[in-house]
Parts: sequence; C-alpha cells; structure tokens
Amino acid sequence: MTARSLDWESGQGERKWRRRSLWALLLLVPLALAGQAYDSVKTLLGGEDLFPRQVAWGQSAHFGGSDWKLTDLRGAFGMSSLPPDSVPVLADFSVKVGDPDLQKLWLGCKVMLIDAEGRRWSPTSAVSLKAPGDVHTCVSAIFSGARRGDTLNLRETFLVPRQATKTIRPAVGLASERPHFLFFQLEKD
Amino acid sequence: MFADAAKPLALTLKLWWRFWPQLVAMVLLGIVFGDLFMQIAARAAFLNHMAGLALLTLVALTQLTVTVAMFQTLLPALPATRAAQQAARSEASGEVPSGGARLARMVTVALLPFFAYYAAWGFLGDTVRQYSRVTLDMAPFGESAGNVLDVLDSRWLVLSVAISWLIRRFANAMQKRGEARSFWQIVVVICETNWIFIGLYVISRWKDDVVGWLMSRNIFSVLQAAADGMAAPIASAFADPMVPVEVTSVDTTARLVNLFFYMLLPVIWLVLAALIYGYDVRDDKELMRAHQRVERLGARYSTIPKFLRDFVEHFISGYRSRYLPIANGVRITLSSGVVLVVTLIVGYRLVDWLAAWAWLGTTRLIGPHELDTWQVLSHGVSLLFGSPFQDSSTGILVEPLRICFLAAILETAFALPKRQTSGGAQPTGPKGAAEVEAQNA
Amino acid sequence: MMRKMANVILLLLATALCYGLQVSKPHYAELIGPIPAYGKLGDAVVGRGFEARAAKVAFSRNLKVDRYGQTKVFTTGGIWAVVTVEFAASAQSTTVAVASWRGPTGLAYDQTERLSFADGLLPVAIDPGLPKKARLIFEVRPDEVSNATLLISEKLMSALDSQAEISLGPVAAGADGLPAETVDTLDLTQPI
Repeated sequence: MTARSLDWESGQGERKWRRRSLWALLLLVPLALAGQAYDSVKTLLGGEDLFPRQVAWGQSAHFGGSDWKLTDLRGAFGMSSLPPDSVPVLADFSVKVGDPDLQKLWLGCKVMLIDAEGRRWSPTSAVSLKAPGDVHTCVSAIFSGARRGDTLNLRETFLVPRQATKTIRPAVGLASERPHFLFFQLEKD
Repeated sequence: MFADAAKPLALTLKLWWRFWPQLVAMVLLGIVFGDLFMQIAARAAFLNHMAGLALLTLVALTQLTVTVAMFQTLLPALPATRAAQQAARSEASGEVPSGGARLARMVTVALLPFFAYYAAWGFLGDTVRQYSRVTLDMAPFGESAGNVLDVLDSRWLVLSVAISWLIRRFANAMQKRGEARSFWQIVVVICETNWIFIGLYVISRWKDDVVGWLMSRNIFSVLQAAADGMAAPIASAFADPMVPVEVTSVDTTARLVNLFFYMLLPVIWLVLAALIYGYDVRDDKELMRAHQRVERLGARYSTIPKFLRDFVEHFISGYRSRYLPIANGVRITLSSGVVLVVTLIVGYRLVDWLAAWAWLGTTRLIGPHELDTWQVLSHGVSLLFGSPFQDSSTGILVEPLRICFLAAILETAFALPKRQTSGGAQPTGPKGAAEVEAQNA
Repeated sequence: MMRKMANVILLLLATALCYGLQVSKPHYAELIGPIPAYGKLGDAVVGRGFEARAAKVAFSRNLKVDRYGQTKVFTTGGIWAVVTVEFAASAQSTTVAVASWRGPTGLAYDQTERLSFADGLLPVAIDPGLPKKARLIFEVRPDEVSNATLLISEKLMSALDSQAEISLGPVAAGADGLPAETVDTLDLTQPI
C-alpha cells in the first residue's frame, strides 16, 4: 500500500468522522446543557411564580393542600400621610385547611397584586390598618397551628398607585406549588 | 521573525477549521461523562466514602482521555510530528498498536505527568472540592453525609490500593490470555489512575502536614526569624508604622513568581502534548545514568510487599518511560527558538484572556437578571467559554482552539529547518521527517 | 551577539505582554460581579429591578437626628456626605438595601450604621408606580469627596444583577480642605 492511498483512505475516514461529529453535535449540545443546567432549572422553576392558574370569582381553588377563596378586594381611601396618588388596598382570603402541614406546604408564601401590564406589588409595611383578632397574614398563618377543616381568614395590605387600581387582581404563590400560582378574578370580571 | 510567529497561528486556524466538529463533539462528550461520573461518585459516597473516591478517579480519567483523543484526532494533519513519531518507533521495537489499544497506551503513558501537572496546579483539589460540594448538595436537609473525604486520612486507603492492585493483576492476566484485550487494558488503566489519583492527592495533603509540623517546631521558627532578620535588618529593627490595609500591596517578588508560573503553564501543556504524541527517547545517556542510579536505590525496596512496591514503583521506577519523554519534550521546546517559545506562551495566554473577556462580554450582552435565572444562563455561557472559575477549560469554543494551538506549535517545532540540518543528536530522525514531508508534497 | 540581544528583548517584551494579560484578565469576581448601569448626578439611572436618581449631595460636619423623641447630634472625624436619592421600582415591588461611596482613589465606604434607627435610610421598600425618596449617609474622608461614585444595588450579593453607578462629579474644596459647601449641621429631622 503506498503512502498516497493510505492518505486517501484516512481522508475518507476523516470526512466520515467529520460528518458523524456534526450530527452528534445536534444531540450532544442539548444533552450537555441539560445535564449541567438541570438543577438550576429546577431551582428556577421552584422559586418563581411563572404560570397562572385562573380562579373565577366566588370559586375556591385547591392549592398547597388547602382550598383558597378570595372574599374581598377593596381600597381604603382617605388616609393621610401617604404618598400622593397612592391607595392602600386590602385583599381578604378565606382558606379551608386541608393538609395541616402548613410549615412545609406554605413555605415561601407570597401574596401579590398584578395589574394589566404585569406589574407586581408585594404587601406593604407602610400602612398598618387595624384588623380583627382572628385575621392572619399568609406568613403568620403558617404558625397559627390550624388543623384540618379549620377556616383561616387572611388579609394582606398593599400600597398601589391610584391609576393601577382599575386592573389589579390578587395572586398567591407557594413554594410547594411553584412555578404555578393562583390568579384570582374579581367580581367585575 | 514575524513569519515564524505567524506560521503556528495560521496552522492553528487551519487545524481548527478542518477538525472542529470532531473536537467540539469530544469536549461535549467529556462534559457529559464528567458530569455523569461526578454524580455517580457522589451517590456512591453515600454508601461508602471509599467507593466514592475510587469512582472520582473516572472523572479525572475522562478529562485526560478527552484531551488525549483530541490530540490524536489532529495527528493526520501534522506530517512532521507523525514522521518524528514513526522514527522513534522504528528505533524501538517497531510494534505499532492500533485503535483502542493505542489510545489506552497513550492514556497510560500520559497518566502520571498529567496527574502530576494536575496536582501541582491544584486542579486535583478542584475536582475533589467539586465532589464534596456535590455530595453536600445531595445530602437531605438536616442530615449530614459526614465528611466524605475522611477516608483520605485513614488506613482504608491502603485497602483501596490493595484492591485495585488485585483487580489490575487479574486484568493483566486476562489480557495475557488474549481475551478482549482492549477492555482489560482499560481496566488496567482505571486501576492505575486510581492509585495515582489517590496517591498524589494524599501526598499533597501530607506535604501540608509535614510543613505544618516543621513550622510548629521552635528550632525552625528561630531559624526563620534569623533568616528574616538577615534579609530585612532595618525594617525589623523598627516597628512598622501602621499602614492602612488598602495602601499595602502584593510585593514584587510574589508578583514575579506568579508571573513566572503564569508563563510556565503553556510550556507544561506543550510538554504534555509532546508526550501524548508519544515522542519517546530511548538513548539519552545522561538521563539513563540517572535512571540506573534510581533503579539501584529502588532495589532496596524489594523487601516490601509486592502490591505496595508496585504502587511505589509507579512514582519511582516507572519514570524511565514516563519522565524521559518529559525531559525531552522540554528540550525540544527550548531548543526550538525563542520566537516559537514566545509565540507559545503569549498565544496560549491570549486564548485564555480572550475566553475570559468573551465571558464578560456575553454577560453584558445578556444583561442583568435575577440570580436564579442567571444560574441557568451561566451554564450556557460556561459551555461556550469554560467555567467562570477558570479552573478547567471545557468551553466548546475555547478548548478545541487551545488544543489546535498546542498541536500547531509542536508541529512547527518538529518542522523547523534548523532541526533538519543539525539534528544528528536528536533521536527523532529528522531525515524521516523530511522524507515524509517529501512524500506528502 | 545581535541575535542574542534581539532574543532577550523579545523575551522581555513577551514578559511585559504576559504581565499585561495577567493583570487585565477579568477574574471570577468580575465575571459574576454586578452589571453596572451608569449615570450622572441628576440622571435617572435605570437598572433591571429599580431606577435611581441621585438628586443632590450635601456635606456637613455634624448631623442632627431624632432618636426616640430626643434630638441628638452626631459628629465625625471625617465628613458626612448625605445623598438624596429618588427610587422607583420597575415591574415588581423590591427592596434597595445596599449603597456605597467610592472615592477617586478607589476607597469604598459603606453606608454608616451609626444612624440605623433614623427614618428614610436604606433599606427602602419600593413599589411599581410609587417613587420614594431616601437618604444615603456616608462618613468619608474629605479627600475622597470629589469625583466620587455612588454604587447602589438591591442586595449585597448582586451577582450579574444591576448596580447603579452614579458619578457625582467634582466638588470644590474650601480653605480648610473640606468641600466649599459644607454646612455645620445638617438637620435630618426635616422630611426629605
């Protein structure tokens, strides 16, 4: 066998391997990415409220082992010492506890208001309105020692610009349910 | 002069263009299997810490195999290197193993120097750290897996060495009987990797202990104080004035030492490349003499148990086939002219530097995001340009370029006309190189 | 001889080049560091989660603060720099918690912790559509006042997240080395 034919043969083999490798890349790139990013994607999905689950007005939805129902959303107008054009908004929920292991299921509980543009407001500490004794916030309810079948009354207070109050709707996210979250429709919807 | 420097650069691009699909695919295979073995090792560590560490060997071995395979891929495009290789082989036995057996042999030959390099630059520690981090992540919350590295300080280590020696012996026997030779060859390689991996890591740990013990002796501190006093008599005579910490800086010596090692790393990689291309020497008299001396010394150890001796011999007596090529590789590099060495160092570091800036540029291009989102995105960026820790270059855009560059430098060194006229002392047979080039042309 | 000289010069050049590469190569901390959003005093600097506009900078020798109904005066060995900043949240409620003052020589001063009880300091919670003012108070050396940069971020480890970098411009120094506009006492009990 001459050197020339050897070269030619190895050239053939090389071209074959080049083609094979190009095809393999199609498989290997996603595989390598998936292998490396798997844990991070899991963390990302477990930490963000990404996919809304719509809840019609007056309906309750099973979420984090309990049944959630929006009972009221109203503005508290006429308060002094607030930034101009801002309105405190109260969101009231009634939650029938199913699985009482709230410390696990309700971890990372986050109630928010979302407007038509997708802007999100978290509960504020700038306004504190007096509430009846048996009203909890989402976080304090975790430690309320509620049992199966109990009904918890939750209230969160927000501070929202006046022009946003027309389109805001409340939403609830729990670590145990993320990336899904509850998105409540209002009476007027 | 500039033409000399430009030649390897042009060759680098030519190699890259000709082989990039294969090279990228290999890097990706390395990433996939490295991840896989790391996960397996971490899971095994829950059952048994020793087993976890033994499996960790596979992670390092994967990286080595990928590197070796990448260099092998480039070989058809390196006529001068191939000619040198053939000349060396014909001077030796003349036996040409092929296929998987050749790769396995290549891995074995490169094993110790690769790991030595790996350990010297602290990468072995990186792998081990990564491993303990993965096991920590895996441990269920509130439940500790314990220190998975505690085995490194126990006598179970000896047991592990003994077990892998037994397996290796068995594999050797099987290989001699001629059943599935390349498979048993691979088993042998894995066992040897295990020794070296554990051995080097333990040595580097014990070295710290020994230094710590020395430092804790009073004699030593007296000596050191004396030495310090001699070195800086005036500074120590007066109390140092209070200097705000932000005004102090790293002193020049430390900076120079850093720079030296920064510039040395490319040379070491070139040596590894030379080694992988199997550039063996068998007749270097100077080195042979040293070898015989060591062998005589080694004879005294023949009284210790055989498996321990085998283990120790990996570090001592096996060096003839393993270290001589290194010594020779250094010689090739340094004798191939300042221009080439400078091209090697600057070019290698430039690749490095560009990769880091590409990383930074990409982050700016993608823009700010929440940490969890960036955790995901960063895997994509790392896949392209290597990890931001810069502890291993596994970026699919960087690693192939680096390998091509090293191969191109080596090829240029072998093809230098100077070597062909005054190469009588060189065992590579520059005549052969010229012949093959003529044939190719 | 000429050749040797040329080689030595080449090696020295390479060493210098390598040193340059080594020094200018971004390190891990920079690769995963915050992503700056640049601006000047008075500009609205837009980051990912928040917007910041440094309205004005005031310098004083003393600060007057209300503490549980009592008025207290804080002195300093350097100088108090008080920056009034207007914050706005972009798409969701967030908290801006970290600010530092980077002087012209690179010394960075975190916000003072001596006044942690006072109102209107960081951390400040901001909601979309509801801009809010806050004071950032630093205790700095007088020679770190001119051409300083204000660094503001949501949290301490803002890896690859926005950091507002607001250059505050030159400040004319008076005869005593302090900025010319330094007041004796700044009254923080006044609303912002």
